[in-house]
Amino acid sequence: VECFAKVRTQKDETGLVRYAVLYDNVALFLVTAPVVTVIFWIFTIFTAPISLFLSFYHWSRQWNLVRRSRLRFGISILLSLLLIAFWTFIIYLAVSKRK
Amino acid sequence: MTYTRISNGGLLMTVIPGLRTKLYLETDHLLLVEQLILLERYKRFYFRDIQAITATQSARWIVFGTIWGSLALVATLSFMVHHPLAVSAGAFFIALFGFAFVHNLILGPTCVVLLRTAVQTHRLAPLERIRIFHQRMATIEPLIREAQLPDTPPSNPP
Repeated sequence: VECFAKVRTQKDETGLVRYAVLYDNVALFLVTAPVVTVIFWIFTIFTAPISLFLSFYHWSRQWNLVRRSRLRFGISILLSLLLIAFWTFIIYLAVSKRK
Repeated sequence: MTYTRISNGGLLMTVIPGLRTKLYLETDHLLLVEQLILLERYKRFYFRDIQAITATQSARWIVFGTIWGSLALVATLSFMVHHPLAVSAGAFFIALFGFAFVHNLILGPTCVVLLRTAVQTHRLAPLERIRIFHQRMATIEPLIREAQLPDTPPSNPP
Protein backbone atom coordinates (compact mmCIF):
# COMPACT_ATOMS: atom_id res chain seq x y z
CA VAL A 1 0.00 0.00 0.00
CA GLU A 2 2.85 2.36 0.90
CA CYS A 3 4.57 1.67 -2.41
CA PHE A 4 1.33 2.33 -4.29
CA ALA A 5 0.78 5.61 -2.43
CA LYS A 6 4.36 6.68 -3.25
CA VAL A 7 3.95 5.93 -6.95
CA ARG A 8 0.76 8.01 -6.97
CA THR A 9 2.76 11.12 -6.10
CA GLN A 10 5.34 10.62 -8.85
CA LYS A 11 4.86 13.01 -11.71
CA ASP A 12 6.21 10.62 -14.33
CA GLU A 13 3.62 8.00 -13.37
CA THR A 14 0.71 10.08 -14.63
CA GLY A 15 -1.61 7.09 -14.85
CA LEU A 16 -1.79 6.91 -11.07
CA VAL A 17 -1.83 10.57 -10.06
CA ARG A 18 -5.11 11.33 -8.32
CA TYR A 19 -4.84 15.03 -7.48
CA ALA A 20 -2.75 18.17 -7.83
CA VAL A 21 -2.54 21.19 -5.55
CA LEU A 22 -3.36 24.41 -7.37
CA TYR A 23 -0.72 26.75 -5.97
CA ASP A 24 -1.85 29.54 -8.31
CA ASN A 25 -5.28 29.43 -6.68
CA VAL A 26 -3.68 29.31 -3.22
CA ALA A 27 -1.62 32.42 -4.03
CA LEU A 28 -4.64 34.21 -5.45
CA PHE A 29 -6.79 33.19 -2.48
CA LEU A 30 -4.23 34.62 -0.03
CA VAL A 31 -4.46 38.10 -1.57
CA THR A 32 -8.13 38.23 -2.49
CA ALA A 33 -9.93 36.48 0.39
CA PRO A 34 -8.82 38.87 3.19
CA VAL A 35 -9.69 41.90 1.03
CA VAL A 36 -13.08 40.54 -0.07
CA THR A 37 -14.13 39.56 3.45
CA VAL A 38 -13.23 43.15 4.53
CA ILE A 39 -12.94 42.33 8.25
CA PHE A 40 -9.80 40.26 7.66
CA TRP A 41 -8.12 42.81 5.37
CA ILE A 42 -5.46 43.51 8.02
CA PHE A 43 -4.12 39.97 7.51
CA THR A 44 -2.88 41.02 4.07
CA ILE A 45 0.24 42.30 5.85
CA PHE A 46 1.19 38.61 6.24
CA THR A 47 -0.63 37.00 3.33
CA ALA A 48 0.67 39.31 0.58
CA PRO A 49 4.37 38.38 1.05
CA ILE A 50 3.43 34.69 1.39
CA SER A 51 1.43 34.90 -1.83
CA LEU A 52 4.33 36.62 -3.61
CA PHE A 53 6.72 33.89 -2.46
CA LEU A 54 4.33 31.11 -3.52
CA SER A 55 3.81 32.70 -6.93
CA PHE A 56 7.51 32.95 -7.70
CA TYR A 57 8.41 29.60 -6.13
CA HIS A 58 5.71 27.63 -7.94
CA TRP A 59 5.82 29.61 -11.22
CA SER A 60 7.85 26.87 -12.89
CA ARG A 61 7.10 24.10 -10.36
CA GLN A 62 3.31 24.08 -10.68
CA TRP A 63 2.40 20.68 -12.04
CA ASN A 64 -0.94 19.52 -13.37
CA LEU A 65 -2.04 16.58 -15.43
CA VAL A 66 -3.73 18.94 -17.88
CA ARG A 67 -2.33 22.21 -19.19
CA ARG A 68 -2.99 25.29 -17.07
CA SER A 69 -2.25 28.95 -17.73
CA ARG A 70 -0.05 31.10 -15.47
CA LEU A 71 -2.51 33.98 -15.52
CA ARG A 72 -3.50 33.45 -11.87
CA PHE A 73 0.14 33.60 -10.81
CA GLY A 74 0.49 36.89 -12.71
CA ILE A 75 -2.58 38.39 -11.04
CA SER A 76 -1.38 37.18 -7.61
CA ILE A 77 2.04 38.78 -8.10
CA LEU A 78 0.47 42.05 -9.19
CA LEU A 79 -1.98 42.15 -6.26
CA SER A 80 0.65 41.14 -3.69
CA LEU A 81 3.03 43.85 -4.93
CA LEU A 82 0.24 46.42 -4.65
CA LEU A 83 -0.60 45.28 -1.11
CA ILE A 84 3.07 45.23 -0.07
CA ALA A 85 3.47 48.76 -1.47
CA PHE A 86 0.37 49.84 0.46
CA TRP A 87 1.67 48.39 3.75
CA THR A 88 5.13 49.86 3.20
CA PHE A 89 3.53 53.27 2.73
CA ILE A 90 1.39 52.86 5.89
CA ILE A 91 4.41 51.76 7.99
CA TYR A 92 6.49 54.62 6.58
CA LEU A 93 3.73 57.12 7.49
CA ALA A 94 3.42 55.68 11.02
CA VAL A 95 7.17 55.80 11.62
CA SER A 96 7.63 59.32 10.20
CA LYS A 97 4.73 60.66 12.34
CA ARG A 98 6.23 59.17 15.49
CA LYS A 99 9.53 60.96 14.77
CA MET B 1 0.24 12.14 -22.04
CA THR B 2 -1.59 14.61 -24.23
CA TYR B 3 -5.13 15.18 -23.16
CA THR B 4 -7.71 16.71 -25.45
CA ARG B 5 -10.43 18.70 -23.73
CA ILE B 6 -13.84 17.64 -24.92
CA SER B 7 -16.02 19.61 -22.52
CA ASN B 8 -15.41 22.40 -20.03
CA GLY B 9 -18.67 22.05 -18.15
CA GLY B 10 -20.39 25.25 -19.24
CA LEU B 11 -20.36 28.87 -18.14
CA LEU B 12 -21.76 28.47 -14.62
CA MET B 13 -19.25 25.73 -13.83
CA THR B 14 -16.42 27.89 -15.10
CA VAL B 15 -17.44 30.81 -12.88
CA ILE B 16 -18.09 28.87 -9.66
CA PRO B 17 -14.84 27.28 -8.42
CA GLY B 18 -16.39 24.44 -6.41
CA LEU B 19 -18.36 23.22 -9.40
CA ARG B 20 -15.59 23.25 -11.98
CA THR B 21 -15.43 19.95 -13.81
CA LYS B 22 -13.87 19.26 -17.17
CA LEU B 23 -13.71 16.19 -19.34
CA TYR B 24 -10.61 15.20 -21.29
CA LEU B 25 -9.96 12.47 -23.80
CA GLU B 26 -6.93 10.23 -24.06
CA THR B 27 -6.31 7.29 -26.35
CA ASP B 28 -7.55 4.69 -23.87
CA HIS B 29 -9.53 6.59 -21.25
CA LEU B 30 -11.65 9.56 -20.28
CA LEU B 31 -10.27 11.91 -17.63
CA LEU B 32 -12.69 13.79 -15.41
CA VAL B 33 -11.05 16.77 -13.71
CA GLU B 34 -12.89 18.08 -10.66
CA GLN B 35 -11.60 21.31 -9.21
CA LEU B 36 -12.26 21.91 -5.53
CA ILE B 37 -10.96 25.49 -5.19
CA LEU B 38 -7.36 24.71 -4.15
CA LEU B 39 -7.18 21.13 -5.34
CA GLU B 40 -7.67 19.38 -8.66
CA ARG B 41 -8.89 15.79 -8.50
CA TYR B 42 -8.50 13.35 -11.39
CA LYS B 43 -10.77 10.43 -12.20
CA ARG B 44 -10.01 8.08 -15.05
CA PHE B 45 -12.52 5.92 -16.85
CA TYR B 46 -10.85 3.41 -19.10
CA PHE B 47 -12.77 2.57 -22.26
CA ARG B 48 -12.40 -1.15 -21.63
CA ASP B 49 -14.18 -0.75 -18.23
CA ILE B 50 -17.15 1.37 -19.29
CA GLN B 51 -20.36 -0.65 -19.27
CA ALA B 52 -22.85 2.11 -20.04
CA ILE B 53 -23.23 5.87 -20.44
CA THR B 54 -26.81 7.01 -19.94
CA ALA B 55 -28.49 10.40 -20.40
CA THR B 56 -31.83 11.20 -18.78
CA GLN B 57 -33.62 14.43 -19.63
CA SER B 58 -33.79 16.93 -16.76
CA ALA B 59 -35.71 20.16 -16.19
CA ARG B 60 -32.65 22.03 -14.94
CA TRP B 61 -32.43 24.29 -18.01
CA ILE B 62 -36.05 25.40 -17.49
CA VAL B 63 -35.37 26.12 -13.81
CA PHE B 64 -32.23 28.11 -14.63
CA GLY B 65 -33.99 29.89 -17.50
CA THR B 66 -36.79 30.92 -15.13
CA ILE B 67 -34.29 32.11 -12.50
CA TRP B 68 -32.19 34.17 -14.95
CA GLY B 69 -35.28 35.57 -16.69
CA SER B 70 -36.93 36.56 -13.40
CA LEU B 71 -33.75 38.22 -12.12
CA ALA B 72 -33.44 40.18 -15.39
CA LEU B 73 -37.07 41.31 -15.01
CA VAL B 74 -36.49 42.32 -11.37
CA ALA B 75 -33.44 44.32 -12.49
CA THR B 76 -35.63 46.30 -14.94
CA LEU B 77 -37.51 47.67 -11.92
CA SER B 78 -34.44 49.80 -11.17
CA PHE B 79 -35.39 51.99 -14.17
CA MET B 80 -38.40 53.15 -12.16
CA VAL B 81 -36.01 54.87 -9.75
CA HIS B 82 -34.91 58.07 -11.45
CA HIS B 83 -31.35 58.05 -10.23
CA PRO B 84 -28.31 57.61 -12.49
CA LEU B 85 -26.66 55.14 -10.06
CA ALA B 86 -29.75 52.93 -9.84
CA VAL B 87 -30.18 52.99 -13.62
CA SER B 88 -26.50 52.07 -14.17
CA ALA B 89 -26.67 49.20 -11.66
CA GLY B 90 -29.95 48.05 -13.22
CA ALA B 91 -28.47 48.09 -16.72
CA PHE B 92 -25.47 46.07 -15.50
CA PHE B 93 -27.66 43.39 -13.90
CA ILE B 94 -30.02 43.24 -16.88
CA ALA B 95 -27.02 42.64 -19.13
CA LEU B 96 -25.61 40.02 -16.75
CA PHE B 97 -28.80 38.03 -16.18
CA GLY B 98 -29.95 38.59 -19.76
CA PHE B 99 -26.70 37.10 -21.02
CA ALA B 100 -27.08 34.10 -18.68
CA PHE B 101 -30.69 33.64 -19.87
CA VAL B 102 -29.80 33.74 -23.58
CA HIS B 103 -26.71 31.57 -23.03
CA ASN B 104 -28.86 28.96 -21.27
CA LEU B 105 -31.36 29.00 -24.15
CA ILE B 106 -28.66 28.63 -26.78
CA LEU B 107 -27.10 25.62 -25.01
CA GLY B 108 -30.51 23.96 -24.94
CA PRO B 109 -32.08 21.16 -22.89
CA THR B 110 -30.17 19.54 -20.05
CA CYS B 111 -29.80 15.93 -18.99
CA VAL B 112 -28.24 13.85 -16.24
CA VAL B 113 -25.37 11.78 -17.58
CA LEU B 114 -24.23 8.70 -15.69
CA LEU B 115 -21.22 6.59 -16.55
CA ARG B 116 -21.31 3.03 -15.27
CA THR B 117 -18.44 0.65 -14.74
CA ALA B 118 -18.33 -2.67 -12.86
CA VAL B 119 -17.44 -0.93 -9.59
CA GLN B 120 -19.09 2.49 -9.71
CA THR B 121 -21.63 4.80 -11.29
CA HIS B 122 -20.33 8.33 -11.74
CA ARG B 123 -22.07 11.48 -12.89
CA LEU B 124 -20.46 13.27 -15.85
CA ALA B 125 -21.46 16.88 -15.27
CA PRO B 126 -19.55 18.38 -18.25
CA LEU B 127 -21.74 16.46 -20.71
CA GLU B 128 -25.09 17.48 -19.24
CA ARG B 129 -26.50 19.32 -22.24
CA ILE B 130 -28.28 17.06 -24.70
CA ARG B 131 -26.68 18.65 -27.77
CA ILE B 132 -23.17 18.46 -26.27
CA PHE B 133 -23.83 14.90 -25.06
CA HIS B 134 -24.71 13.70 -28.57
CA GLN B 135 -21.77 15.53 -30.16
CA ARG B 136 -19.21 14.16 -27.70
CA MET B 137 -20.68 10.67 -27.68
CA ALA B 138 -20.13 10.53 -31.43
CA THR B 139 -16.41 10.81 -30.62
CA ILE B 140 -16.33 8.65 -27.49
CA GLU B 141 -18.56 5.74 -28.52
CA PRO B 142 -16.39 4.39 -31.38
CA LEU B 143 -13.36 4.45 -29.05
CA ILE B 144 -15.24 2.44 -26.39
CA ARG B 145 -16.45 -0.06 -28.98
CA GLU B 146 -12.96 -0.45 -30.37
CA ALA B 147 -11.48 -0.97 -26.90
CA GLN B 148 -14.07 -3.62 -26.09
CA LEU B 149 -13.74 -5.68 -29.26
CA PRO B 150 -13.34 -9.33 -28.32
CA ASP B 151 -9.80 -10.59 -28.80
CA THR B 152 -9.50 -12.69 -31.90
CA PRO B 153 -8.15 -16.13 -30.99
CA PRO B 154 -4.80 -16.96 -32.58
CA SER B 155 -5.22 -19.10 -35.64
CA ASN B 156 -4.02 -22.65 -35.08
CA PRO B 157 -1.38 -23.85 -37.48
CA PRO B 158 -2.47 -26.88 -39.47
